[in-house]
Amino acid sequence: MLGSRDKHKPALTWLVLSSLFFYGWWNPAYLILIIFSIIINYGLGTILGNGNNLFIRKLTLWLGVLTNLGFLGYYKYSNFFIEQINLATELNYNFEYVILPLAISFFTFQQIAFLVDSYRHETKEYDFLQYCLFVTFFPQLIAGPIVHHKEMLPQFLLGERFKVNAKNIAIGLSIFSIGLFKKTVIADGIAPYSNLIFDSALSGDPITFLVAWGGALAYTIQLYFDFSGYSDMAIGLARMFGIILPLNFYSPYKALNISEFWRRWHITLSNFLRDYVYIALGGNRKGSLARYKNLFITMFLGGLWHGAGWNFAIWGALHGFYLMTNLAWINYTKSWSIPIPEFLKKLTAWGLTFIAVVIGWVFFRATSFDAAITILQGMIGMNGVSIPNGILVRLPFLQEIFVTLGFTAHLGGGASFMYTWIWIIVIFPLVLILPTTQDLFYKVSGSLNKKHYENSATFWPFHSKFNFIYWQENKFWAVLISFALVSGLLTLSQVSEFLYFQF
Amino acid sequence: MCSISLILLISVASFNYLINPFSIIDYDRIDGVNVIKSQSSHRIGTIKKYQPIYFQPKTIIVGNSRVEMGLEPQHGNFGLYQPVYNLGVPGPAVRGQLAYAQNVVDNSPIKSIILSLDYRDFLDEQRNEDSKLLPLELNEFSDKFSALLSLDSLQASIITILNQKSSLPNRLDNGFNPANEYRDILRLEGQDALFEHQLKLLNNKLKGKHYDSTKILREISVLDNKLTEWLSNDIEVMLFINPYHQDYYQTLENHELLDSFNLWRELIRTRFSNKLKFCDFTSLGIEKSQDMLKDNELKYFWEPTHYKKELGDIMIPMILNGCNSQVD
Repeated sequence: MLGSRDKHKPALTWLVLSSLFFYGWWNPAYLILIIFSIIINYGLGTILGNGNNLFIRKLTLWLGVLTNLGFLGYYKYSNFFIEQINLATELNYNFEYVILPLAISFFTFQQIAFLVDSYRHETKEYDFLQYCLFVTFFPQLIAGPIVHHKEMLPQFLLGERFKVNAKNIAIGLSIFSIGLFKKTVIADGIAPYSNLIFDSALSGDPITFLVAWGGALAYTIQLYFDFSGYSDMAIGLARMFGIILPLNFYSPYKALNISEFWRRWHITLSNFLRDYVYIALGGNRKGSLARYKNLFITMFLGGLWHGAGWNFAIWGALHGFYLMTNLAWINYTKSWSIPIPEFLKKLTAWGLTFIAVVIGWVFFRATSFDAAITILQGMIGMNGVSIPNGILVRLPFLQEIFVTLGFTAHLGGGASFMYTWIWIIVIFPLVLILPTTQDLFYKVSGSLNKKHYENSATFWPFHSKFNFIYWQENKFWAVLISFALVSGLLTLSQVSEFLYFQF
Repeated sequence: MCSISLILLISVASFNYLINPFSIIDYDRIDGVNVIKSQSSHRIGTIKKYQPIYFQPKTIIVGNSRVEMGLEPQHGNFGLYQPVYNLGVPGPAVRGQLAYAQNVVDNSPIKSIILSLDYRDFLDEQRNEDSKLLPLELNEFSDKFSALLSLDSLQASIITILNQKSSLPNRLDNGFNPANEYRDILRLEGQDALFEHQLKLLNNKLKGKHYDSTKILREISVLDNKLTEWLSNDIEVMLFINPYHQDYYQTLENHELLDSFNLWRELIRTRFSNKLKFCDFTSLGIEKSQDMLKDNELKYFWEPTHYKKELGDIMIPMILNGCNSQVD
């Protein structure tokens, strides 16, 4: 079609143009930015891949990394930086508000990884069109997974990848439908209840114990299904085009420790931070004290990557602290032999990890530090325990118990309180018990990762009752997937956005 | 998979069509299936775009949630004004209410309009700096499509069919809200709880509000233009200021808004009382709010901002005859 010698070149061209159109739909002006970024990085990558002069290659790498970080810094952090200067100096610098271009955090990191890999001679790119597709491929452009060039290039080179393949369509559509269901039915379904509580905290209302936990857990579930749903949809869409993406999400709330959590939450970002920040800082090569420091810095930067704001910085620092504590615990308890049943050990480890994660999410979600503190105060019971009066009067048999326990009643909010907890009670056990999309599609290579039904360092109740379930091309799965797809389609008249789009 | 999905979609659409939980499709309610539409409040704005057009009223009662649950279209005094439709819509400020009314005027043989006014609707933020009144957006295809093919509708249909008790929240075909949700709260929690909760909400809503004379005069001018247009089209217009419980006026005073409220009343009275039937029920509210009756319930008020049908029944003959001064 485009007069190329390669048979799949027209398909590549079409995909690149469609992806750029998809990106430009939000704001065509930022097409210039992404195209400029692609040209610069492709040029630098070519020098890094082909050059032999170490000094020039090092200089090129630094130039590339700093240029990418410079753009990211300007677009993502300049507003925050000026605000902080104005606050600290009580001056009022006038600075035109910079709008964050969609996906800049993702395509910047992806291209930094490409430059470093090229420098290390781990990958090489000869074809500009393929490079364009590597950066812009629409299923993963907006919010990841952050893909490595070396993972994608072999797939782009296989011509048959881009041919219509019924099996790929079936697998892709099935994964996409599951993701759509997770996002639009579950995440969007519970979102109004968490929003209500966090908005209430923002307006300065004191939040009581059960309401605070309801808000924090509702957001914990919302974010899980939002990001998990998005990741499935990206993987499913890419699969319809014959491209297999890396795994990005693998049941993180089952983790027994915080390291395991980060091996399962936003896996491609965790890998990036490990490979290009933590190891670049020295990793564990410079002694144990440096290792703690590097862990903390890596997570702090990871927090800032999510957004320019103190809450993200605190969230990152908190996770840095968690990882340091986890490492210290492992080091100091190596020789310990605690005589308690394995199940209880697991339950305690899981409970501590999960509560730590939930506390982190409070900072991640709250739009101000004060609002986060209000929620946390509620979660530790500083504002007492209360139940909406409307619920209390409907449960006369429990009134005496509640009074004995010191519970009080508050007016209003009965319906939202009830629905918040119904969502949590129904959905949360499913998060712990059910297999992931990765498990279900392992046999048909749902992602580039080979994990399936992995339950080491996890709390996975009834694991053995589910670990034989795999997706198959049969009527049962067709009905199940159709149900998920139709449920998702039925929500399309509602406005919704992915939480990770803002990063 | 495609055929299964298609069957599922058709089944959902058919079910939603049959239950019609938001009254967006025009057909009669079915006994035991959807006589009580307990989920109406979730899409009340959309319902009040289409339901009055199906109803084809000669008279509409325009305003917010106060008239929606206060003025009963079946009131005996309406007589020749029938059919009457209650177009009270919770939420919109003055321009929004006028836009809803214009939508019905454009699509029904309207002879009379009863318009209620609320001070707070004039305080609310108006996006438009000019005096233009934007028409109501009617996206019939999209509204009906989402009423048939959406998960919200499916959920509402299921809840509707399972909840057919007459004590549950409902909206009648004539637009009236029988205030069953308030009856339920009163029964279980008592009027004190309802009062306290609503006063807290009112205090939050009035926080930071101030009397902006430019904005209020602009909104009065928008209102005047619309009323003049209706009058010139031979539509009878009756105007009134809603009554409130005395706690409401006390709250206004606490927020230093009572003087400006009285100023607003005076502006309305001088502008409109000479050209149409006009009643100011402010004092009626103060007087009637003293009436604490049996069963520890107020006879005329649900809570400080919403009056009951019983007070509406007293108001309707006065509105139809016109008071043209403050009602005592």
